[in-house]
Amino acid sequence: MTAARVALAVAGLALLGYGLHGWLTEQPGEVTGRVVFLAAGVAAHDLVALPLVLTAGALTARFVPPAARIPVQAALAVSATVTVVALPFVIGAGRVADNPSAFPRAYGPGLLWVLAVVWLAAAVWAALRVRRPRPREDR
Amino acid sequence: MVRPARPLNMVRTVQHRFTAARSTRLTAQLGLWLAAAFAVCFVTGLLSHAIQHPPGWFHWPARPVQLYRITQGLHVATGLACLPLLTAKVWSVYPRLFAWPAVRGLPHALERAAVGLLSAAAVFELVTGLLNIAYWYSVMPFGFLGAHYWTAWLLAGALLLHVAAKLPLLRRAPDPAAPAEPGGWTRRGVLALAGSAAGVVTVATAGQTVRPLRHLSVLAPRVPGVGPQGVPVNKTAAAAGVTRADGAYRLILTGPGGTHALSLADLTDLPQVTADLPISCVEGWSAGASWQGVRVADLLRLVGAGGLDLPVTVESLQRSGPYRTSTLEAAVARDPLTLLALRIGGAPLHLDHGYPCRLIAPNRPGVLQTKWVAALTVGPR
Repeated sequence: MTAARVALAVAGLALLGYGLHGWLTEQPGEVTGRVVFLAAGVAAHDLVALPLVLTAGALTARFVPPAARIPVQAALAVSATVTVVALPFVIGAGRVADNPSAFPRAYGPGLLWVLAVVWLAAAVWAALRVRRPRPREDR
Repeated sequence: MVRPARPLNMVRTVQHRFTAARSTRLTAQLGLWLAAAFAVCFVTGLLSHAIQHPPGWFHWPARPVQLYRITQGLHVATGLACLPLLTAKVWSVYPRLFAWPAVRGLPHALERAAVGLLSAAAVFELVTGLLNIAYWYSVMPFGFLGAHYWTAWLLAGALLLHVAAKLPLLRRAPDPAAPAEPGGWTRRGVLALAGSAAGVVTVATAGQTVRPLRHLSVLAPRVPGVGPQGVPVNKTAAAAGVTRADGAYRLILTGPGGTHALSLADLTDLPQVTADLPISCVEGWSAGASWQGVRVADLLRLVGAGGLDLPVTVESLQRSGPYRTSTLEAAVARDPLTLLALRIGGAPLHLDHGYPCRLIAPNRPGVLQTKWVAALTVGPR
C-alpha cells in the first residue's frame, strides 16, 4: 500500500506541477483574476452554500412534520441544484441577439416546471409516508 | 407543528440530525463517484483539446462517426451531474472543515492544502464550465479556455494527492454502523438524494445532445431541431462578419497540379453526395443533419492530390477569428464522408450554416467544420 500511495503522490505532484506551470506561464496577466475566482468559488461553496443547506435542513427539521421531513429536505436539495444549473440561462447574460438558436428556451418557466415536478413527487412521497409510516430504515 | 424556537436547542438538533448519516463510508462512496466523474471529464476534455490543438504524434480518426459527439456530450453532462455530488461530498465531511487544531504537523498541513486546492479547483471547473455553456463570459476575469484547461491539471494532481492521503481509509474495514435515527437520513438515503439531484439535472439538460430527451430537457442550452433549417448555430454570419457571397464567388483549390477557381455552378455540376453527419459542439450539444455536396476527395483529384498523403487547409471567407481556418488530416480529407456541403436537407445552406459551402466531416468538432469556405489548399501548413 505504501508503494501505491507513493506512486499516487508522485503522479499527483507531477500533474500539479504541469498545471501550475501552465497556469503561471500561459496568459500570466490573467493569474490574478483566476486566483480571485478560484478563492471566491470555494469560499462561496463552503461558507455560503453549505451553511444555507444546513440552515434549510434545520428549519425543515424544526417546522415540518416528521413524516414529511425527508421528502421536503430532498425536494429542497434537488430544487437548489436545478436552480444553480438553470440560473445562468434564466439570467441570460450570454444570450446572443442575432442567434435565436442559442438558448432557444424560456428558461424561467422551464425551471418552474422542473421545480413543480420535483415538489409534486415530494408531495406524493410525503403522503405515502404519512399513510404508511416506516419506523426504521436500513442503513 | 410550530414550536417556539430556542436557538441553542435548534443548533443541537441540527448537529444531531446531520451527523447521523455522515460516515467514512458515505464520504468514500461519494468520493469514488466524483473521482470517476472527474476522470470522465478530464479524459474527454483532454481529447477535445488534443483534437483542436494536435501535438505532432496525435491523430484523430474519421470513425466512429459519432465518437466526438458522444465524448463531448458526456463531458458536459458529467460535469453538470458533478454539482450535487460535490456539495454532498463536502457536506459529508463538513464538521471536519472546522476541526481544531486546524493543523497537526507538516503532513497534516500538506494534506489539508491538497484538499483545499482540490475543492477550489473542483468548484472552479464546474462553475466555469457552466458559465461557458451559458456564454456568460463577462463574469470570468480571464479567458475561459486556458483557465478551464490548466485548472483541470491542478484538479487531477490534487485529486491523486488526496487519494494517496486517504487510501488507508478506503482499505480499512467500515466503521461499525451508528444506529440509524428513526425517520432520519441514512447513508443510502444521502447517496440516493445526490444521485437523484444529478439525475434531474441530467434529464433537464441532456436533450441538447440526446435527441429523444429534447422535449423533457426544458433547460437545454440548445435544442436539436431548433435553428435555421432545423440545426442550431454557434456563430452567425453577422457575428463572423461574413456577407452573402454573390456571383463573383470562387472556391480556390490549390494543389500540386495547380490552382482552380470554381464557381458555385461548377461545384453544383460535380457529383453530389449525401452524408448524414452531426454538428457536434465542444459545449456538449449536437444535432444530426443530412448534408449534400461534393466530396473533398473529388476536389483534391482535380488538383492532382487525390492519392497524396498530404493534409488540406480549409480557409473561410471570415476575415479573422481563431476558427477562420482548419486543417484536415490527409486520411480525413480523403474520407468518403468528408464533404464540401452545398445543401442541408435538400435546400441550399442558410447563410448562418456557411452558404455558399461548408466543410462537414465525420467525428469532428463543430468549430473545425469550417463555414463559408473560400479555399482548399493541399500541403503542409
